[in-house]
Amino acid sequence: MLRLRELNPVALLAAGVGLLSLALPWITLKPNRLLEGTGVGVWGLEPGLAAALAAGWLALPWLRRAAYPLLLGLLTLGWAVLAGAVAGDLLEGESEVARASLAAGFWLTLLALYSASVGAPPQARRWIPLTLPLALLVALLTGSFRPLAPVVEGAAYGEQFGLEAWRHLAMASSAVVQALLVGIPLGVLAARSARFGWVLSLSGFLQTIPSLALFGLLLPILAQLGQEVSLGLALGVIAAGLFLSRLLWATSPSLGLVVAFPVGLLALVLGGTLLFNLVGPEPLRLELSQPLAAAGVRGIGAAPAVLALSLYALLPVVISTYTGLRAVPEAARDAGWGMGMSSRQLFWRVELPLASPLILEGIRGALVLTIGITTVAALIGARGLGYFILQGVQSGASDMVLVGALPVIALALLADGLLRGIGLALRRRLGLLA
Amino acid sequence: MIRFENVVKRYGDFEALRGVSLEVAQGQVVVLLGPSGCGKTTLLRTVNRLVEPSEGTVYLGGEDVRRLKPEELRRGIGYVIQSIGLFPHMSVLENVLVVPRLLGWERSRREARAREMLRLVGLEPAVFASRYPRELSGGQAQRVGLARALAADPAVLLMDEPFGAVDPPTRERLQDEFLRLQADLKKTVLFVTHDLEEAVKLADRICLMNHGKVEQYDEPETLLRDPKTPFVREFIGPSRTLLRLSRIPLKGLIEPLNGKVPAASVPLSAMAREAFSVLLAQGARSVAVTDEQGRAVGQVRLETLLRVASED
Repeated sequence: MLRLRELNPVALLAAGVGLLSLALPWITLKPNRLLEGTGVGVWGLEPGLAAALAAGWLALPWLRRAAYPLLLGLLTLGWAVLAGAVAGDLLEGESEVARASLAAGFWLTLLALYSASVGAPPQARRWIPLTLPLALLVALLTGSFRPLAPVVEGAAYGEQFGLEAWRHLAMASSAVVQALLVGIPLGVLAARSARFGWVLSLSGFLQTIPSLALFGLLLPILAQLGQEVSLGLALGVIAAGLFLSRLLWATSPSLGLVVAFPVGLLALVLGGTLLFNLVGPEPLRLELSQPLAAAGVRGIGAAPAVLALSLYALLPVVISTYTGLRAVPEAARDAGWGMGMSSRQLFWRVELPLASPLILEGIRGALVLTIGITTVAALIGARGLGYFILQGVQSGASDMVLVGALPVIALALLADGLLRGIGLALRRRLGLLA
Repeated sequence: MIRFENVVKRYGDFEALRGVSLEVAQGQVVVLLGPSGCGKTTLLRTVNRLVEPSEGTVYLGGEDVRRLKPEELRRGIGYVIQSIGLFPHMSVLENVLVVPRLLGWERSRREARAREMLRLVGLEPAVFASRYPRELSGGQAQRVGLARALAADPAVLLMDEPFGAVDPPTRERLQDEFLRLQADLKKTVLFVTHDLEEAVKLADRICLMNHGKVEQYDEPETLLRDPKTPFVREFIGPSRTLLRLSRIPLKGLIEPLNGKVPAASVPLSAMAREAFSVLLAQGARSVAVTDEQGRAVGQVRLETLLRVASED
């Protein structure tokens, strides 16, 4: 047995919160989705499960090594099962429209679980990514969440829920891909020469524009563009503009960029829409003689959303590329030159590999950020998971809001974990990690 | 092999090199010596065109270096820098392979060569080839740097304070190994240092620089015995007598043992300075000289050392 002084303080705090939350109401029973309800605690309906959870919390701070993540997994499972059981008990005999909403105790226990996983002892940490998802999966498969109000609301939408999640991911990923295609070269320029320092401030400035204002600005422009310009013409303008800016680049790079800027925006509009239609649920239609609107470039919908998201995602990509390249040791660069690398070889063989872990961090930031803010796309009819949030807000049904919000959080966490894993693998492969 | 002709380098109003003319003979180690900011590194970097002279010409093997593309020129010159500049994302083997790869050598040839180079600098390929620079000690990293510079068998080596970043015992060991390697390889070496002792130990000729000009270009013995300018005298300072002893082999100073063997001893291969240090430390008047088997073959007396040290 450990002495009190050796106890893990974070786990101790988490256990305290976990115990406290057992004294609070977990489920609010509402006669229907809009009416106020009454909070119900866990001890009256499920005393056995509640006691088991309490015992688990009491034991947690004393555990080390594999026992800690194992118990944490069990606590997570217990949390889901307890909430589901209480909700199930309450709904029995109630009408179809009654809802078992989530109350303070449920959320507080989630917070306690999160703190406990963050505060895991170092030797136990590597098992957490295994036991926690496993516990959630078991809870999901056994249907513990099914009686809870957000799940009931979401289930009512059935197929549309999957469609909106798909659309959401399609918008976010097209925006991030575009931000990479534009942001990495811009970051390289900024790192190469002080003349392009404005690239950093520009991408910073773009992020300060409120999204609603941006949508308002884009609406008439994109609407007109979609009506009056055919796909063939747009592609021609982009090709000609890029060629012109390439010519101007030779005499004055800044002038070249000035030309490239509006052309680039047009390319972003078109590219974003096409990319979205390529990966999203809508079919991709390409007819050169048709106006752009046929391909999806309209004042509302995915086109302005993906464009705005691409601009927002630019900052993390540009900054991380810039920082990554700037952090390449001067000695490595000098050695590369001295051994006879051309500037292209130096870039691809030395600078880019050494900067890549940081660039990847930027991509992670951009993706997580974009998955989150893609919810605003619902405001201009582009739908996505924000649609449910908007529906919930408009109808005053807080459980509806959760139908949109919880998957967004889950997707963002998933993307974050995935890219962290890739980053770790990359560092190991480059020999930058023990 | 390398010839500088009236090389001038200006940065704005500042003149880093103010008309340097110098010739480096093939197979020689020439040390560019001087205080920081004297232009020695700038001069070194004009050879592989990391610095382009404002005036004057640098010849390599009789040819103006500007006639080659910088990349091609550099691939034919070994380059070792103080901070070593190993690529942290490449293994030791990959680091050594860089120039052969740039030159487009075929795989089996370049890998064999890289392993040979690692062995040459005293790193067992089986142990070190797959390690990353992060996992090397300072001395090991510096050896890899040298192996990398030698990989494509360049005739000329440029070394910019290569041993500046390691601790003194390691530095001495690296210097000894460099001399041993150079005796076999006979490269033409341009070597930058600010350490007088290192220069005296390694150089065939020393080029002492100050404020972008050559103060004196001579063999170490001559430089120490006969400083041509006040700056050279001051730079060498009071340790010049001791340093001269470090260039004189013991071999010529040995006298036969007359009966009793002195308690202290130095190896036959040592320099006079080592014998002098032993004498001072022991407070003795003579020291035994031993051969490789440890047998005393003669002695060196303090008076002899004092005499050669003050000779002009």
